[in-house]
Amino acid sequence: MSFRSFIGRRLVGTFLTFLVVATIIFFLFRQVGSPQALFMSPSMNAEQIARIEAQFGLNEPLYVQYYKYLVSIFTLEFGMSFYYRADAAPLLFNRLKNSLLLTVPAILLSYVAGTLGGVVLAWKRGEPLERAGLVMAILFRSSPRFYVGLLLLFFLSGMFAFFPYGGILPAGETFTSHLELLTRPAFYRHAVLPIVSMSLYLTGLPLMLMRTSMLEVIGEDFVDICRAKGMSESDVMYKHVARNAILPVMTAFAVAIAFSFGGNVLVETVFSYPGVGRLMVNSVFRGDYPVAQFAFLLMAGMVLTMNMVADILYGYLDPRVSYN
Amino acid sequence: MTEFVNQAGSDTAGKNTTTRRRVLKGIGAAGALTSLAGCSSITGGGGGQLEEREVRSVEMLSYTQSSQQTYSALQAISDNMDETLGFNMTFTPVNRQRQLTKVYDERDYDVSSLGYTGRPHRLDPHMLMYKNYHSSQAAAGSYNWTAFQDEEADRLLDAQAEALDREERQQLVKECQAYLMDLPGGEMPIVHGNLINVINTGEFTNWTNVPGLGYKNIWTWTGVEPTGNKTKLVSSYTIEAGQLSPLAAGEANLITNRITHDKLLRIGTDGLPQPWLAEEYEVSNNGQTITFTLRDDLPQWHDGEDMTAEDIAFTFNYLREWETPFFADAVLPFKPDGASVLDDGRVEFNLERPFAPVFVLAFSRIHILPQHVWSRVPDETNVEAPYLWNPTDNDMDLGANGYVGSGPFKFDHWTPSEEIGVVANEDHFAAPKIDEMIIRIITESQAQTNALERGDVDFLIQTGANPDVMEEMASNTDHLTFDAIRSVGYDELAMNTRRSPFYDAAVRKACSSVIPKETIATEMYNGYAEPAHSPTAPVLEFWHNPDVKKWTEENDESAKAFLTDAGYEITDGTLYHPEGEIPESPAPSGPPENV
Repeated sequence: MSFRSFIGRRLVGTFLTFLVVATIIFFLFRQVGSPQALFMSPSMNAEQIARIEAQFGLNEPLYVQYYKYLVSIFTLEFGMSFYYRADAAPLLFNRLKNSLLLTVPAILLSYVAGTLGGVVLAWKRGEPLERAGLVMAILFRSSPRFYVGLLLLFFLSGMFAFFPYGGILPAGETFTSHLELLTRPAFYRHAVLPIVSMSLYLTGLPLMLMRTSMLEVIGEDFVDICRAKGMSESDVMYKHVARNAILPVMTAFAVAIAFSFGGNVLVETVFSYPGVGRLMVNSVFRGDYPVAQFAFLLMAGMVLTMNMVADILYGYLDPRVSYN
Repeated sequence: MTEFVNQAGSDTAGKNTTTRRRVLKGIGAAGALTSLAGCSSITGGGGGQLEEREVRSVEMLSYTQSSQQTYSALQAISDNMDETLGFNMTFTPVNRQRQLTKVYDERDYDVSSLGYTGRPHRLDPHMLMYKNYHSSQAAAGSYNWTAFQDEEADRLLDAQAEALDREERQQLVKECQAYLMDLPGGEMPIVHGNLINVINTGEFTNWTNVPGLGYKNIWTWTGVEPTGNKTKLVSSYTIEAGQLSPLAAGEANLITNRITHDKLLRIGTDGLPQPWLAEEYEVSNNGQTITFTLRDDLPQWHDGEDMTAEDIAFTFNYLREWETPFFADAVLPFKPDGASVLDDGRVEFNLERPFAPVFVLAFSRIHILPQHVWSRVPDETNVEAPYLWNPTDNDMDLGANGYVGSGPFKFDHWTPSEEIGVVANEDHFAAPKIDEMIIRIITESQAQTNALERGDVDFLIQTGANPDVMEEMASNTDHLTFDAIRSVGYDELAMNTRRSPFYDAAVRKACSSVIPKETIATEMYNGYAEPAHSPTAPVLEFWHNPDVKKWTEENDESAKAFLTDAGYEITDGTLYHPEGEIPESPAPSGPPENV
């Protein structure tokens, strides 16, 4: 099979999977909540309830709602949030941008550090450095993220007051666009602790993956040949072994980027950060499904796309991968 | 759970019952029922019919464990009903939204609790009594979620609502409490919780506490004074506003709406309405016409227009016309188009019938709206009704100016999930002494503590943190003061009177007797609560009746006696209906047909 038809098949498969996910999301969310519950107000008469239902497009038969929902996936018009009474899409995108400002740097940081660290750990196999590295990785990987966040908050924000207690900017300050936000030094002070607490957790995966993958490659014949050629050990490790060992890390990276579109609800809650993770979880609890279903669709779409991208990248990075 | 038994003490007999019941559960239902049927003739039951009379299994719809205090309180009550009274209880924690839907919207539950928070309009005894016990409020989507219906209760509740003389009304309100608690109604108050406030008394003075509501009130916002250079006051809240409509019910938006909008009257520190836009009012002899005289210096709207008497009449007629859900109970007593302008300084209101709570419920609560903005809603907008319109996110080319108030603070900015900012309106007759106020959303207790200690936050409005921790932190920090204020609201045991067996007052008496209110207040709320004996809180000194039936005086034995005296049987830890009574199965749900 040619590369082109492989891509074609993956595209169609991804699209069909997405439709199935979209359908499940649609019917799942209609089981929880209604906009009326948010009007916790006495003596609502039938006419008022009808008006509210009409406002949110709930007065139509389910199949019409489903059809409109499928169309809305392409037009991005997901209707009005029950809770915010505003269009769901701009609302969600706005929070998403807030979140990406934390998750993308955190992922980049941890995948660069994790990959390089993994090389070192495999290289120094059996030495105290490897043991220390493993312990740290497992410690941060297995401690709950909010707990690491809380400790950072307690020591670095509370006890030593190096960093603010949370939020995106200090009280009373606003920003007009996310580009403008990036020019504000205050934002970076607010972003440090959330990024660090996410990175401490995220680094474990690329680190361990890279180490294991390296250990497999390190025993192969070509490594000995490289050494026999008289290359320095670090050149052997970084230029030859690492290159051959990086594939699993690439997949993990692609999926991590996809999941970053869901924000990080625990870190956002600990640092009172207005991100998409909190919005998503709160929307589910509030039964605010125009927002919730959009958020989940976006996540599903990103994970599927990034998985596909990783598959295609495999072939590019490793010519040995065949498409049969 | 044995430590949660009724504080009146459980005797040996009670414990034996418990043990035997557990044994019965252990050996399996089939065998147990046969043996029970055998011994029922000895206990004087209805021969072989006993198992048919077994009281159906009852479900306690609870908060989730994350609401630790209410969760354990309801669990203790459920355990006591199970172990002392012989109920077959199931305990089901559900998330808050689901619980609201089941209890408030659908009335589909056996026993539960939603709880009432302290709000200014709840300082009038009408709100937490008429609404919770009057039969007209029994339909789904109203506050009488136990669907309690009683003619005498209706008569007394109607009478207090129509009594315009305060002393006369006071007597009637007290009578209502005595009657409802003695019966008891479908709802049994458990405890009045505490509001935890931490305030920065180092950098700001002149904080005002309204009993039952705490420091979060108009007198604090307009009265608080900086002691130094810091003129921006930052408050911390945990719930983010969804929108800022002055017609919506959320407490998060109301904090802002109450200071950016004016009302005719305001609730004072004594819980009674005080002059605000209106200087005085006059009530006609039949109690159906109320004439307000407005102050001369009516504030300007924040967009520069002048406020007139027309705006005030418009607001009331507009809300009446649309039957705005959140204010419906406040505006429905008005005649349609019942508000009219007499002259520049006077507005007249015509009511369908005399309605004493109108001063708190309507005149102290309804935000006066600018006619030049709201008369265009919903016609020129994409919404179906005014209460769906969000002034900060409007499509009328008003920009942020869509949020037009007249109050002592002007709306400045809103970053959803992060903060709401308002600035002082220096031209207002009650101009605040601070320049700026921020309501900041802080979701984590540790962050609240950090922010308070460092002076980043000056007022903790509400917290999920352990009050003891907050108290210790405040006492170790010079500029902070901790205050726990008894709330006017309360947590309640809601018994669905449309369901078997809670339609029976004897059952409600027995259940009310096994609520360990003292234990709940001291152990589960760590003392930051007091047992509630009436829906009208003790902080409402004028209205509260201390001489009502106190169900904490009962003990396990007298609780069981309420049931056995009414013909119920408690045999081997299982509760049976009286002879001749046909237990309803399945239990009816939904609102009664006649409302």
